[in-house]
Amino acid sequence: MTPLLTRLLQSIVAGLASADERRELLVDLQDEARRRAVDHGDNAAARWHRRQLIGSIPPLLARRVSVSRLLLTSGAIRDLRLACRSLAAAPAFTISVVALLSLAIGSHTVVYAVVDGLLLRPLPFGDRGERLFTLHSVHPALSHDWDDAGVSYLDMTDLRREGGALEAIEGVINRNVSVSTGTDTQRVLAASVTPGFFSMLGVAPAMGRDFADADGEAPGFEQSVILGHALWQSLTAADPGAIGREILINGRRIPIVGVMPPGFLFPDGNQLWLPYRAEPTVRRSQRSLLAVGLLRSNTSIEAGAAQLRAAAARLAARHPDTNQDWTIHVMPLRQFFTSGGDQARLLAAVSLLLIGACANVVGLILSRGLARRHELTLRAALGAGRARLVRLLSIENALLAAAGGVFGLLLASWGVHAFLAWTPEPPPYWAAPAVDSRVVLVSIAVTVAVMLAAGVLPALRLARVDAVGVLPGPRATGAPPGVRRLQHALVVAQVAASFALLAGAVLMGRSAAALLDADGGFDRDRLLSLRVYLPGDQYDPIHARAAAVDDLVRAVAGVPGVRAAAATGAIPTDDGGGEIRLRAPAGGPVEELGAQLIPVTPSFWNTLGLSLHDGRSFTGS
Amino acid sequence: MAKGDFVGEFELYVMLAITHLKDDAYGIRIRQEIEERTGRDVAIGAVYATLGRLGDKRLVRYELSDPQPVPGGRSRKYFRLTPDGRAALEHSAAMMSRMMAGFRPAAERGRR
Repeated sequence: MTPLLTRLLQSIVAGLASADERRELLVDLQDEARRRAVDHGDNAAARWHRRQLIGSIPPLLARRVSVSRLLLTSGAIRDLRLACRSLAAAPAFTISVVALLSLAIGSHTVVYAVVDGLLLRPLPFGDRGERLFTLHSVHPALSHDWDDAGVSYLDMTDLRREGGALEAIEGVINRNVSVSTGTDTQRVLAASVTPGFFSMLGVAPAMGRDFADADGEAPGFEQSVILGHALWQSLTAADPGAIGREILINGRRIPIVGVMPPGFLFPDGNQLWLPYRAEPTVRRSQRSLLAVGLLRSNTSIEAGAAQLRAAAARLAARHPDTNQDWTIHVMPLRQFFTSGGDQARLLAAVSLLLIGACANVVGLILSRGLARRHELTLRAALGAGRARLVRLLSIENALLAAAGGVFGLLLASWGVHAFLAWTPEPPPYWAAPAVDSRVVLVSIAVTVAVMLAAGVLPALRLARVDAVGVLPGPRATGAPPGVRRLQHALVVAQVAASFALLAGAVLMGRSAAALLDADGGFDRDRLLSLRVYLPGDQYDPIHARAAAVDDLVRAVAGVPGVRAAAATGAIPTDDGGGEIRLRAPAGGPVEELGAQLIPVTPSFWNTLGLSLHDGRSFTGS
Repeated sequence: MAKGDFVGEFELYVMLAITHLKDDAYGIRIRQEIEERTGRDVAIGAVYATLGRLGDKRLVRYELSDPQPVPGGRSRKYFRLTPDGRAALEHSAAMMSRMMAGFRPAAERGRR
C-alpha cells in the first residue's frame, strides 16, 4: 500500500502537471519504483520514489506559473482593449462615473491630507513630540476658552521649580516687529522666548548659537536675535557670514546670533525670535505667556498635571491676592494646535460621502450591465466562461476606478491649495496638508477599495448569465433577482449614508447661517476696518501711542465720505479682548464675573451707531 | 538563429536524449537515458517541464501512441525533434564543440 506521504506528494505533482501528461508521469514513475524495488529493496525504492516526486514539484510549479502568467497577460490585454472600446462607446456613463469617483476620491484625499498633517504625522520634535504640552492658568470665573489662557512669567518660574515630573517649562509670546537692513523695512511675526525654549524643543540653530541665560537677563532691550531660515535668506541673501551682523529691529540695532534650521517656525509661523526679558516690574497677574512644558520620559501627562495643580494650589496659598482660586490645566501640544477631533469627524463625513458615491457607481454599473445583458449572454453563448465575463467586467470597472483615482488626485492637489487659501484658521506650520507619498498611498488604497466595492460585486452579479437558455432580445432588460436584491441593498445604504450626511450638513448650515445673521447690535454694512501697527520703541510710552492713534483717527475721519472714525484694540466680531475678572458687590447673585477688556477711543459708539444704555461715553481726556 | 533562442543545459540534455532514443523517446525513458549517461538523478517532473517548454518553443513535437496492448493500457507521448529543434541542437552542439576545442576535463584525462 502506498504510504500517506507518497500519496500526498503524488496529488501535489498531479495538481501541477498538465492534464494530458499527469497520468503517464505518475504511472511510469510508479512502474519504475516497482522495478527498483526488485533490484534495491522496497525501502530504497520508496525513498527514490519520494525523492522523485519532491524533486518534480519545483520545475512543474515554475512551468505552471509561467504558463498561467502567459495566459493571463495575453487574455488580459485583449480584455483591456475590449474594456476600453466598451467604455468609449458609452461616453455619458463613463464620464458620469469617473466624475463621481474623482469628486469622492478627491475630497476624501484632501480631508485625509489635512487629518494626516494635524493628527497622524509626528510632531517635528523627535521623541519629545509626545512629551510636550502647554500650560494654562485657569480661574472658575474665566473657565470658557481656557485653552487660550496664558501663564504669568512669575508663576511659570515657580512652577518650573516645583514641578518635579517636568524636565522643563519655558514660555513664548508672539509679537510683531519691524525689521530693516537699512534699505527695506518689513513687518515680521516674531516671538520672545525664554532662553531655554529651543533646547526644550530639542531644536538647535543651524548656524550660530542658541540663546544663553544671559540673553534673557533684564533689564534693558534685547541684545541678540535668532532668525528663521527663510528670513535669513531674504534679509542677508543667505550669507553664511551673517552671524554677528546687526539688523534693525523696531529701529534698534541687534546682532544676529543664530539662524534656525529650515522649516522651523514655532509657534505660529514666526520668522525671528528674541530672548524674553522679564522686567523687574512684571506682575504675577500678567498671564500672557504661552507656557510649554516637557514631561520626563517615564511620566504620564496625568501625573504631570496633578503635580502642577498641587504646585498651583501652593502658589495660591502664598499669593492669595493674585492667585486665589487659580489653577493650572495642561494640554498635549498637538491638541493645543489642532483643537480636538473636528478633523477626524470631517474625515468620517467624507468617508460617508465616498460610500455614497460608491453606492451610486455600483447602481450605475448595474443599470448599464442590465442594458448589456444581451451582449453578455451572447459572449457566454460563444464560449466565454463566467470567470472570463467577471474578468472583462472587472477590468472595465478597474479602469473607471483608476481614472477616478487619477483625476481625484489631481483634484486633491488643487483642493489642498484651496483649503490653505480659504481656511479661516491655518494649520500649524508643521502640519500644512500636502499631497505627499503617504497621502498618495492612502488615495491608491482608497481607489483599490472603491474598485473592489464598486466593481467586483456587480461584475460577479452581472456575469451570471444563462448561455444555454434563449437569448433575450436587446430590449429585454428585466433585472434578475440577484441584481435586484443588490440594487435594493444599495438604495438602503445610499439613503442611510445620505441621510446622515444631510443631517450633518443641515446642522452645520444652520450654525453658519446663524453666525452670519447674528445681530452684533450695529449695522455692519457701512463699516470698514483696518489694522494698524505702531513699530519701533518710540511708541512704547503710552502718551506717544495715544498721540499717534489720535492723529490717525483724525486723518481717517477727514477722508471725504467718512462719517466717523474710531480706534479700538479689538475689531468687533473678529477679535477678543483681554480677559479680566469683575468682583461683584457682596450679596449679589454671583461673586465674580469674567469679562473682556477692550480699549476704545471716545468716538467708538458713535462710529458703530450705538447708543449707551445709560450714562455717557469717554471724553477725550 | 535569433539571439534569444539558445537552449539551456538541461534542455540540451533532453534534446540529445530524444535523439539517442530515436523512436523510444517518452518521459520516463528520457529521464533514464539522461541518468545513465550523466550519472545524475534527474526528477521526472523536470523532464516533463522541459519537454513542455521545448514544445512551447516548437523545438519538439509528440505523437500519441496507440493504447498499450495490456488491460487498462494507455497511450504514450513519444517525442521527436522538429526541424527547428534539430537546427537548434546542431547549432548548440557546434558552438559547444568550438568552445570545447583544446579543453579536456580532468575526468576525461584520468580515463585511459
